[in-house]
Amino acid sequence: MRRLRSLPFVALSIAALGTTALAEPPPSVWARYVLLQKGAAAEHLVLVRAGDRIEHRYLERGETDLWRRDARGELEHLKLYPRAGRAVHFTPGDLRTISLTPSWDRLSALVSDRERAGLVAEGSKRALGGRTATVLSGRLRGQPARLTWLPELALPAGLSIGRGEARVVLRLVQVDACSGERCAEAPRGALRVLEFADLGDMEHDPFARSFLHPPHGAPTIGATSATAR
Amino acid sequence: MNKLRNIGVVAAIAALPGLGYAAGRPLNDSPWTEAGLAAIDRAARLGAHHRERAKNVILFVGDGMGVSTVTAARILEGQQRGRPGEENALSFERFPYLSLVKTYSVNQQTSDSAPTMTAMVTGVKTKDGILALDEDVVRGDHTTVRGNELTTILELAEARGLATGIVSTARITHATPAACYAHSPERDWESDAELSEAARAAGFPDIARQLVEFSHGDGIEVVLGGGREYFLPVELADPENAGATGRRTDGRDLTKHWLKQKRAAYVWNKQAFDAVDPHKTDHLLGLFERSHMQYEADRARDTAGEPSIAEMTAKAIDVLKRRDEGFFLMVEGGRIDHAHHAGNARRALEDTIALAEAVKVALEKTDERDTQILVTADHSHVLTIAGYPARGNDILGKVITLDDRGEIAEGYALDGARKPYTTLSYANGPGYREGERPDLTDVDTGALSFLQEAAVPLAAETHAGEDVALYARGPSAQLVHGSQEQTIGFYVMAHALGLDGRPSTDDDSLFGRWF
Repeated sequence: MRRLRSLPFVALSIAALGTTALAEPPPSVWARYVLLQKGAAAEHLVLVRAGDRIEHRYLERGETDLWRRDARGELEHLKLYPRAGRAVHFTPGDLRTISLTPSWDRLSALVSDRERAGLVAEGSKRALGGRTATVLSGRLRGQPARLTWLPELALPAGLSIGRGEARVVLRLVQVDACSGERCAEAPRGALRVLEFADLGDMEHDPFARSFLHPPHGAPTIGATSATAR
Repeated sequence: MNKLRNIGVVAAIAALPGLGYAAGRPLNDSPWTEAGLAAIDRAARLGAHHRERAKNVILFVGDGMGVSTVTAARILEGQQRGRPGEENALSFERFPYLSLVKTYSVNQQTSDSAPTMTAMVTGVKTKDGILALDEDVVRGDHTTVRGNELTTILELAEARGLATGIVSTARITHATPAACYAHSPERDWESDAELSEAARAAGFPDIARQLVEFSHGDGIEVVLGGGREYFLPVELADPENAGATGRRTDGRDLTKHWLKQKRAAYVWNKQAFDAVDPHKTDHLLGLFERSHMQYEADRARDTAGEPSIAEMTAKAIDVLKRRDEGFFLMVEGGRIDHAHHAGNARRALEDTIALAEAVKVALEKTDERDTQILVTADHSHVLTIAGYPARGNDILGKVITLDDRGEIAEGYALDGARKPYTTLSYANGPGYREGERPDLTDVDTGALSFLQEAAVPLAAETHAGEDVALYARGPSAQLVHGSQEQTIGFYVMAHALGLDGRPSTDDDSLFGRWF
């Protein structure tokens, strides 16, 4: 049976591949993507890139993956579940322990410099509001891929991975400079923040159980990190 | 005879000042007390010439440090010293007395830290998630607390006039340390933000509040560990982590409450910790992380610097031993458990070795003649040591066996699919690999963040239900023997400190007051 890949899995899987950092920091942006897969409802991802904070906001499920980088480059991660009234916090040590250490440029741009360097440029085109985009193709994570890259924004305008019924398409539908409320850090004042390290001792808690034992086919934290390695 | 014994206990307890008990109330009136005292009776008939009374007691708890963890850490420590490893002994493995203890709780075959630590520090078994309250309490229901409180060994020690301390690499409000000083129907109520609405409305004190408002004796003298944000209000920025704040919603900064005590100090980083003069500090609070402290393997990367568990143990003893009456100290290696839950054996073993170093510090700073030291675990984990690796095989590595001549074989031992496998693995956890087993031939399985393979896929590895070991040295250590309930630890410590109301057979003319 064909396994459908969820948007967070795609984003995280792409982001988890190691790479070198960009030479200059990319501009702060608020960008909205649509994820398309045959046989599945469209999902929307908002990427917020604001200095040393990156957010992936999954609009349909109302969840957010927040990543912060400190002055030493150490990553901290927060998964927000507003509908459940919970958030799960990963310290830098937690992330190292479970080998969940995506590169910053991959989190902020969804595709790294090294991956782009591994693709072949086919030419250029206009994309989203008349911006100049570079079209590249080749293989990403062992699958055929086609990337439409916006160098001015350091973002994909479009990304297609896989072929046939398993093909996943990510398309940029709106992008703005980061400003105001839109790019403010996702609110979590009303959420109860749980430490990832504590979840193993929280079998009694319904939220922790659902987090640790997601439905069949959905990625677990462990499976994601093992796969990403 | 049992009633007469209890009357003696009652009289002894009624004589203790400041305990807050009405006269006539027995020592934790419970069937567990009967069984515990009966076990002491049997144990006392062994080693009749050993000293019974201790001036000081130190309880070390490796959270999740089951027997397989101890064995693997012993081998790793030995191999880190350039030896085969199997013949090595962690510091506490040289203690003369040993028991296996049963870790089940009243309602769990495989327990969590709350009822297991409650058993160790009160002598009474209780239910999952409950801290220092008996089994009649309903989890999460504060209205069932009154009348079901259990007295802890730390409270008894304070009431007797001893100095007390708690040290942990986990949050100091986490289940294991909290069971020493707090009484809560829910282990997660670490700050007011976690209380149920009903409990908050009723003013039920959260665990952090119970720590700083501890009213037995003259208060806990030393508290060192993590969990800073549970003591600070949400309006206050964390001093170490930019962008982070406290989590209390009541507006209270509990560190300020701590500092109201005479000659009190509060520190949150290594530099300030090192600067604390133990001779001039009567009440020391150290909260070195917003939440749990770093794994030992990661400690050097900490932003503000953290002391090691050995350094915290040393400082605690230096402060506490100034008390002429003696002291009680609990030290927890709290993150062995977390590393196992993550399926990461190396971090678990490194933290176990760090705990053994802390025990070594305690041995160096105390005298066996007047200090009882116990080392144990609250529960085990599902780590296994498997295959037939040859002597000295890398404990974190892949299995290499012996050949038919008893020599080290060429190449790795292979499974049915001709792939090598590691000595260490987990029965369940995040190390499960989907589909075919990976080929580990060229994989560095000794890497710090390698996740050992697991047989059953779970996002977090689980506790294990087998017995754990209790190692003992010093006065009354001879009472540790055989297969026991986990409650035995409390009765051994209580007897050593003379808190159980039972007479000692020590001949002070032979031993001196202490020695």
